[in-house]
Amino acid sequence: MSKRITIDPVTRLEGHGKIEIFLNDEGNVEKAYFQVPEFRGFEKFCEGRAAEEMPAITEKICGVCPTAHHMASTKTLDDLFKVTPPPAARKIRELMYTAFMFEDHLLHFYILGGPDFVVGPGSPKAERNILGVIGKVGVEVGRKVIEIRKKVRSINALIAGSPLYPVSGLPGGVTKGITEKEREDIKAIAAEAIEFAKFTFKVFEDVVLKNSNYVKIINSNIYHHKTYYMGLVDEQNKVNFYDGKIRVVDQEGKELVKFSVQDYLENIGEYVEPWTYVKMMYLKEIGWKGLKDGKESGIYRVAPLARLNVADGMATPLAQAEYEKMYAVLGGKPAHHTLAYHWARLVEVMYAAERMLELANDPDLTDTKIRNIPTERPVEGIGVVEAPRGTLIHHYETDEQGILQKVNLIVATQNNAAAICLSIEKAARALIQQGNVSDGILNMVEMAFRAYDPCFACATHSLPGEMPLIVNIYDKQKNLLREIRRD
Amino acid sequence: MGKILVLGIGNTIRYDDAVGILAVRELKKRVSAVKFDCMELSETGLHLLSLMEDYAAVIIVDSFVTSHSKAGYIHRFDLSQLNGMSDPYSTHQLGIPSLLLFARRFNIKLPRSLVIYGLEIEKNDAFGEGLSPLVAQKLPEFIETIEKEVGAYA
Repeated sequence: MSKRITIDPVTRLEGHGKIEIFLNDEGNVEKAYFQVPEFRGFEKFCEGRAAEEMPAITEKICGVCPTAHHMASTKTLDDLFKVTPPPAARKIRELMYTAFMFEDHLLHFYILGGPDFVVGPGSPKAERNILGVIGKVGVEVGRKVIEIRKKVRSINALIAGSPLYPVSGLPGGVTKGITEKEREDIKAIAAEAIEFAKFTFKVFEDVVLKNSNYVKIINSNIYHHKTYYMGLVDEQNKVNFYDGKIRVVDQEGKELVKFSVQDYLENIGEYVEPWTYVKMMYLKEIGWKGLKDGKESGIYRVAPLARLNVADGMATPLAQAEYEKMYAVLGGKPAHHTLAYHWARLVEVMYAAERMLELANDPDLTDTKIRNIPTERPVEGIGVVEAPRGTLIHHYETDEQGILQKVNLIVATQNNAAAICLSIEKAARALIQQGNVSDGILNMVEMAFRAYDPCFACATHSLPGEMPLIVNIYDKQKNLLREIRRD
Repeated sequence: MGKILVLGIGNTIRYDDAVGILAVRELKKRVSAVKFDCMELSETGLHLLSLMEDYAAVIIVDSFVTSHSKAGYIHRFDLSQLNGMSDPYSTHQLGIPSLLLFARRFNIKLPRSLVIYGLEIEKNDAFGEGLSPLVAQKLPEFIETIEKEVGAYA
């Protein structure tokens, strides 16, 4: 008898995803899907508004990465009005953005993704959350996480006017400069952030890398895909969150293409599957060949591991050392281990902390020229940043008054959507055998997509780190055979 | 008594989900700025915890979607009712009961008093501005109910 399993996380602010697994008569996986069932209509909502409103509007898409949308939108306005921000404004923006990346990544490691590794994928449900993480690493660590996030967020509050919803981005600059006193405060916090990043690597080393079972899971073929990778790089091909060219490498790490975001439509395409509202992204040069990995398939991955895979290294010394160590352990570059996204995220935490300090020490930072006034008539603008969850592109077309006629957003998780489907199906096929769908097995299936830190992960609706789930198993006639609740 | 925080939670571009924020914007005009801080937030989570620790009392104003109440119903919970409760109502990430558990585990200072007001709403699953007619009609009563509670602190 054929069975259908639905993993349906409770709706969260930014929408919800659902995993559906279809079993055959033998109880093995026939097909697995990752669906985003809700059409959100955000682009339509924006049309008819003044383009300058977008940095404040797009950050309300969801509560997860407002700073990323604010920054992508601000950079799109630069391009729309053909204006370049002065050096101080550019560096203030990057400082704010880097602070955001630090605290967002840290949240994922300790709270959203951490329970999978630090507590362990097979541990009881009641322990697989932040409290379980703290049980392993100690209450003092928990306090430190809260404290450092609060301090780093204070940098954002200072620069952006709000720790959560920035209001500082303007076409051609920012609303507010930084004083010498503020520079000193930021330097002190950035120095602490570096120490905390070092400490986090020690936690990772002690709790994850020294546990042979976890290392075995990271290296397992269940969580392994040879795909293309995409991410922003600077002029030296080093990882950059704020600006640069978009670089794509193949399964061997060879550069396939490097392009300006303004050429994104020539390089990446959207494919619509009938069973999901999320558009699947693919490389046009390779083409859409269905949901499969390998050289012949145009599916690519973004976000931390992809960013490291496309780069020739990290632009700061401690992050570079951790980068080299990661690839040495994983057996070279590029790494195709989906669960190594967690590790790559920590390398980026270190880079973010070091870059914060670099920028805080930059002589330009306190310059009072923080805006160039736009003079060009707007027509079209395209902007990009690397969001915590991957490459984020905004594209606006306006009339000559700057009123939006067309809006297109390629959000980070959309870039990873096809790969997430691949990862879930592979994990489900390997782990669910003869109808055995225990709680622990389902968690290991979820791990395949939680590694990507997808926007619709729904991972914090109850206890942080725990994903509320309802698993329904149906027969061929859709009669409910049994229900597993983990909410 | 220290300062009191009146916190509107919601998303102003998700239709009725804006109701908590709209209520607090109106309350801000009516309460003493010396005694009360009125703030808006579209996220809860750990940020809310660090925000609350500086206040003697916190009144949270939010929208609710439950399976058992009609649109326009005014929910109220205080600290004693929240203890031991799971996170049933908020769409804003980490729920308050989990936050309380978290705070106690880490000895994070909590306000002496925490009250949550929620107006049951109709629509928050799409992008748009403006309240549905029933929620708009109920908003003045919602504000007055909270104002009475706020008055007790003053």
